[in-house]
Formats: sequence, structure tokens, C-alpha cells
Amino acid sequence: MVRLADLPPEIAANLLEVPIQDYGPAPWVSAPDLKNARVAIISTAGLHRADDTKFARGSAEYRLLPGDLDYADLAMSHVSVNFDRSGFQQDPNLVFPLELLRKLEANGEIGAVANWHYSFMGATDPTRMNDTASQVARLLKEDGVTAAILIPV
Amino acid sequence: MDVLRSLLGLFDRESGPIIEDYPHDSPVTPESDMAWSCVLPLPPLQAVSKPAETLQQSLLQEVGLLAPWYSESVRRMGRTSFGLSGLSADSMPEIATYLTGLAAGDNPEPPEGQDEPLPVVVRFMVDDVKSYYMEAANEQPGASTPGGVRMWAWFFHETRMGQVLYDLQDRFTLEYAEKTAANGGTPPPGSTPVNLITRRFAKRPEAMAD
Repeated sequence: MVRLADLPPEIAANLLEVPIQDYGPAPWVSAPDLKNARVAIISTAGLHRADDTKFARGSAEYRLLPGDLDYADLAMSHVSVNFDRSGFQQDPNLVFPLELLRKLEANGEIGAVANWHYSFMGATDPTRMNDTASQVARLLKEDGVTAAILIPV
Repeated sequence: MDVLRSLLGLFDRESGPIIEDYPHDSPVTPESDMAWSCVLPLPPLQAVSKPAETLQQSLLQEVGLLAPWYSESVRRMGRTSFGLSGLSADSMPEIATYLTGLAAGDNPEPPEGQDEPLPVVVRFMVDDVKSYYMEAANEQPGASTPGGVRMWAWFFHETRMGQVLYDLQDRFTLEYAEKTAANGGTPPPGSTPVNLITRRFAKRPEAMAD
């Protein structure tokens, strides 16, 4: 994500006021060897397939994004008027680097791209996403994912 | 790709959690960003005291000038972020006319298929309008591509559409205040303020005032 110092001052100040949830001690597990890792992307950019339900204000839902998704079928309905879409318009890899992951897979730099990826809509209070985040964790496990990239744009 | 490789490289660290900045700066600097300018001869901004027909004609001219560059962007990229409203970019003149009418204080019929409550209809239409303008701007010939801040500055402060959105924002803000006052100072249930203007550009520039 953008460095705090590179954000417009009013946006940076707003972010600094967001309370940080205490999740207790961070569990730490051994990371997989990347060459054997199955990698999924989890975005908060309010992404979904064009014909999927758009995100509404306060939504704690997630949307499924298949691993063979064509970017022509990718839409963004993040509710915040302050959300800068220009990077997404110029190159979706900036917020959802699925094409790049496929290249890394083809190069043998990662083991595989997961069958499913996920997007939340980041303007919602994250504590409201506890249930849906747990669902996504279970789905990642069922998909055999061993490494997840969180992209909190 | 280098950013992604650096991120994945964090998995090789033996201890953590890790918070680390990517070591390279963005190629877009505030200076290079602000150097971009729209090369299309968009109609000059009009004082809002001009007749409504003049303002609408000016907006439709602007939309028409951007059309070939938006289409070129779709051809080159093979995609567009336009479509949240359920309308196609061919409907841009209709959308522009509708938004101008709303901004002028009228209550025009929305384009066909727009069945959601007004704030939702307007939100998705405005998102599509931004996509249309910004994708067209990205595609124009020139040495640089605008960064996000420059793009927003151009859209809100240098286009007739930006001017329309300030007018529309003023209308929604006034109506929300009136509803709140009529409800004894608290917003009526289900009523939320409609925000169309990015916080950074919340203030209408002097050049757009009468």
C-alpha cells in the first residue's frame, strides 16, 4: 500500500485516527517454499466480476474471483468517493496482481496460482468482517492455499 | 513485477511479523504528476449564471470530444471500468443530460433501467462518468500519464463535468440539511448524506464561481 508519507495529508491523518484492533499475540507459522506454494490474493479494493453483485455501503461481504479471471470481466465498486481508481484503470495488476502471479507460476517462481481469490470492500469497519474473514480462511484451506497476499488498497 | 517479487520474498524471512517499506520510490513524483495536461480543446468552463442550455451544450461537447479517446482506451486495454450503472458508454450523452438536470434542481427521469434509489443511481453513474473521463485522459497522446492526484484535479477543477458535480453536491447537501432540520435536527431514518466530491477537492475552486 502507499506509504503514509506519500498520501494526501488529510487522508493520512484520517488513517492515523483509525483504531487498531487488538488481535492478541500474532501466530507465526513457517512459510512455505515459494516454488511449491499455492498462492491466493485477498484484496480490499471492492473488486468483483462485472455481473456480480456490487458492494453496498457497510458491506462486510466478500466476492469470489476465479483464478482464470479475464481482467475485462473485473469491476470495482468500492463505495468511498476518496478511493483513487486511476491506478486500477491504468493497470489492474496494481490492486489485483493475478496476471503477474500467473507469470510467476509459468516461470516456476511459485508453485501454483489458487483456484479462487477474494475481495472485500475496505471502507467497512474491519471488525464487522470477522465472520466472513473466517469463512474465507476456511475456503483458502480447502483450496490448498499455502500463501496468501493481502492487498489493503 | 518487482514489487510482487519483493512482497513474496518476505515469506523467506525466518522471523516476523515484518513491516517493511518497498525500497524504491514511485516513478510518479508530485512534479511529474502535475506536468500532465489534457491536450484536447475542451470547451472553457462557463459561469453557472449562463443559461442552462448553454451549460448543457458545453457538457455534451466535452463528452463528445472525449469519446474517441475513451473508445481507443477500451480497444487498447481490452477492458473498461465503466459499467457499474448498468449503462454502456454509448449512454454518456444521456447520463450527462440527466446529471445536468439534477444539478440544476430539476427532477428528470433517469435513463432506462435505473430503478435503485436516487443516491445509488447517482453514485454508480458518477463512478461511470469518472471512468469515462479518466480512461479517455489516460489514452491521450503525450509524454506522461497522469497520476491519481493530477487526474482528480483535472476532472474536478478543469472539466465542465466537474462543475456539474459541484452543483449536484450543493443540491444534495442542501436537501440533506433541510431534511435533518425538518426532523428536529437529527437525520431522518435511512437518510445518509450523498458525497460525490473527493475530500481533497471538496472546495469548489474560485474559477468555477460566478
